[in-house]
Parts: sequence; C-alpha cells; structure tokens
Amino acid sequence: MKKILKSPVGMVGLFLTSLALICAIFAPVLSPHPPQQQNITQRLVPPAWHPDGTSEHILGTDYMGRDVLSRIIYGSRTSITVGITAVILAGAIGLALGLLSGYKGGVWDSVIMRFVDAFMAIPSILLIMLLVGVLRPGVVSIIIILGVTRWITYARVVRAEVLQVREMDYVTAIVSLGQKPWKILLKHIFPNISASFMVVATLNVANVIIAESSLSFLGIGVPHHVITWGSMLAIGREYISVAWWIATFPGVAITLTVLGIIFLGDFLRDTFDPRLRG
Amino acid sequence: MQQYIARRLLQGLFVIIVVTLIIFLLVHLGGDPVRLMLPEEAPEEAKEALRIRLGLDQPLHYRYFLFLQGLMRGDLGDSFRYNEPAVKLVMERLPTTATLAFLSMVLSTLIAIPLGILAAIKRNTLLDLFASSGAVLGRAMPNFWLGIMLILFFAVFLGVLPVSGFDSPRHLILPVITLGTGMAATVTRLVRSTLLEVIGLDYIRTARAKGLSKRVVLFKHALRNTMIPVITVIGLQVPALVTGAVITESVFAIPGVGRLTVAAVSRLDMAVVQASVLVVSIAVVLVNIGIDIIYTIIDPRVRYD
Repeated sequence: MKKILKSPVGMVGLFLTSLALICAIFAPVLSPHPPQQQNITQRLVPPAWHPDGTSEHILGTDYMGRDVLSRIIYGSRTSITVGITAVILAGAIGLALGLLSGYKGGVWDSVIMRFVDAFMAIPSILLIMLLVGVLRPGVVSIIIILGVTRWITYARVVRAEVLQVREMDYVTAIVSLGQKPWKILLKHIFPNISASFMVVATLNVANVIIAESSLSFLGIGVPHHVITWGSMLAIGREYISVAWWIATFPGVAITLTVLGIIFLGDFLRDTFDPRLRG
Repeated sequence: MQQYIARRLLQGLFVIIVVTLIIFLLVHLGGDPVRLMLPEEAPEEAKEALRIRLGLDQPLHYRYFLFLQGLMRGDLGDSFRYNEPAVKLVMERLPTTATLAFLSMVLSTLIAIPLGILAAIKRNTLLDLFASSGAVLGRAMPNFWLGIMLILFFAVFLGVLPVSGFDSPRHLILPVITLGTGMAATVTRLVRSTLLEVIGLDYIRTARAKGLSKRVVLFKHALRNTMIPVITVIGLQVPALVTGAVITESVFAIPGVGRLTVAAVSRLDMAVVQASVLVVSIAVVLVNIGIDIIYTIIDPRVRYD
C-alpha cells in the first residue's frame, strides 16, 4: 500500500479504476436522471458549456432526449460486471489447463499447447461471433463467450511458471513425501505463481472491457435494453454529423477506465513480478 | 533452410487441423447445426436434406471427416441470405480486408520503429515522453472510438476526407490510421524497451570500445537484435489486426469480410460465419508461416534449431 502512494502510475491507475467501480456500484445515487427516461422536447441537447446546452444535462442528451451522463454512469455497470466475471472464468480455465500442462507434461502438455496455438491463430472477434451465433446473445452468454475465448494468456503464463517452479528443491521434497499431485499444485505451487497470475488477470480486465464494448458497438453483444458504452457509441456514430457528444463521451469513459486498469496492472507487475515486463 | 521451411509448413498444417477441429466442435456441440445453418422458417424437407448432407445421423468423428472433405472442396454450405456458397462470399471480400490490414501493418511499423528508436536513444526527453504516452494511449483507446473521432474531425468538422466507403485511396486514409494506431502503440513500446535492453549488453560496449561510431553500433549491431522480438510480436499481432479490421470495416462501412460476418451473425446466417472464421484463420496461419520464414533471414540461429 505504501508503494502505491509513491508511484504516480499506481495512483492514477487506482484513482481511475476506483472511479469506474464507484460509478458502477452507486449508479442510482450518482446519475442525475433515470438512464432510460426519454424526453422528446429535450432531444439532442448539447453539453452544458455549449451556448445551447443546459446545466440539467451536463454532457447533453441523445436522439431520444436521454441524459448522456446518466447513461455513461449506468453503462459502467455492464463493463465492470462483464469485465470482472469473464476474467474470473477465463482465469479459472487458463489456470486449470496451465497447471495441468506444466505439471503433468507429456501428452497433456502437447495437446493443450496445440490447442493454445490454434486458438491464437483464430482472430478473437470471429471466434466470438461464431459463439454468439451458436449461443445467441445475452449477458450471461457474452460472459461465457469472453471467458472461453480469453484463457490462452493465463494458460501460457501459468504453464511457463509451473515449469520453473516444479524443478525447485522444495517441490521435489514434497513429491518425495508422497503428497497428492493436486494438493501439491494448489497448496505449494499456486502460491508461488499467484503474483504473475494476478498481474495477467488485472491487465486482462482491460482487454475484456474493450472486447465487450466492441461487440455492443457491432450490435451483437448484450441485448439492446442493457445500457453499454459500446451501444452508446454505435448510436453516436449515426448522429455524428449533428451531435458529436453522443459518441465522444462514452469513448472517453472506456479509454479512461481501460487506462486506469492498465496503469494499475503495470504498477502491480513492476512491484510483484518485474519479469513479466514486455 | 529448406528443412526449416518444411518443418514450419508441417506445423502450420497441424495448427490448421486443430483450428478446424475447434470450429467443428463449437458448431456441432453447441446446438443443432441444422438450426444454425437454416432459417427457422425453412421447410422441413430442406432441414432433412441438410441433416443427411451433414451426416447428422452419423457418429461425430465421421461428421468431422465429412466437414474436412467439404473444406477441401471449398464447400462449407450455402448462405441462406445470398443463396450462394459461403466460401465464395468470403473469398470475394477477403482482398478488401487483407488490403486494409496489410496497409495498416506497413504504416504502423514504418512509424513505430523509428519512433521507438528515437524514444530509446533520446531517453527521458520530451520526444520520449510524447512517444511513450502516445503508446499508452494507443493501447487504451478502443479503435472504433478512434475511428469515430477521426470521422468527426476530418470528415465532419474539416470536411476534407470521406465519412465511409472504400472506393478511392482517399477513402483508405482514416480506416488505415484507425486500424494501425493500436499496433503502432504496441510496436513503439516494444522497440523502445528492447533497444534499451540491447544497448546495455556487453557486445555493444565492446563495439563502442573498439572505436566504432555510435551510428554504426546502433544500426549494424543493436538494431538487428532489437528486430528479432519485434518481428515475433508483429507476427503475433496478425490475428489482433484482423479483429481490428472487422471493427474498422463496420465503422467506415467498408465491404470486407468483417462487415459480411457481422451482418451474417445478426441474421444468424451461420454458414457464412463458419466459413469466414475458417478461411480467415487459415489465412492468418499462412501469413504467420511467411513471417517466420522472413525471421530466418534476420536471425540465422533459428535455421539451425
């Protein structure tokens, strides 16, 4: 904790990430208007500092008169929820396969690593679209889809770490004591690789948030009634020549959130696992 | 050298086979392929005919065999929207997507490599700060938002470039910048950090000590070793570049594979989705083999591995 106070990158990261989390948790308290409230008389109102803007809608309104700021605040809920849950799912799959691959070696390792190679060759968005077609879009299916398409990084990092750790004397000692393999993996090997794992997971939240908003932007993500930054941008793209603010501010929200998570991840990496620096 | 290329081709073929297996399993275990391949209102006879053609009454491994056989012939089913073979639809649009991706890759490396070098040799100067913060921002900004902002500035405010389409070189400018920025950010960061690492190595000090000029040491000695990880990463970035291209095509209404696939997913025209995933992934594997062969020219050690 002391370290983060001394690191400007860490502080900015912590601030931006906390801001996004606070918006997501306290959205009903923070947003000035209900996000779905339409008001045809207040259509396409520009932001407050514009001569035609009003202080009632600080960041303006969209084509249905909905408050852009309130929708951005509510949109953080989707991004954060999908980001965190998909990363947990991807992490669990990647951890299990990486441990298995690194510890067991042999056929297991070859088979899992060939799958990793193949997954790396498939452009993720196309794989995701194939799965969206198979599973049909929905919040839960998007989380599952992002989870099962993002495990590769974890599997590779965990495997590489396990390969190093398992050669260490203390592991040989525990093996010779007759400890069960899964106990060795969970109780003795995992604690030694958990730092790298956490760093990869943090940075991955940023990627998942971008992936989720891309899907919503393309109109194949979560259902239309769920407010997301990506779908706000898609609407903004259509109104770009008359109302620049609809597309501008949700993008700022995504960029700042992702920037915050990247900074936080970089700080964690430099503090706990400088070897991962790319 | 030939042995290396042969081995690399064999590995590539193996990856392609695993890719086909993954896609086959996802489509066939994820639900009823007939429901995925035909619209719901399709007549029962058409569904039955497709069921027999896909061999759905047969065991799974035999179905995979049929699927591979179809792939060899370039037959992955027909699009119910266009009434045309799905592979044909994808192949027609592949050159557009490939052009977009290739131009972005070339542009981003042409900008990123000199920028990364300058940032490393002028470390901790304003230029370094500019390059490094640009690289961080390029990593955090979703490219579709960047695309929209470029449209806003150059097409709406200044009115100097077209909003969408892919008809003339002028139409290419904004999409190529949109797609290239993310990759340029990654490559700049990597060139900077690798070069800084290489400059600190003993052989560079030796080269300087024997009286070679800074310029010769940088270009003849340091840069060659810096390029090795850079080329690896460029190769690894190819799938990400395609992902970016899919989204960029949607922002600028470019008629490529991405737009075809997005429209196909929305209409659940799954034959097209499946064909585009397969065709594009195979193309990615082939491009990566090409990059690996270029690699051997820069790093002769690889050939003797």
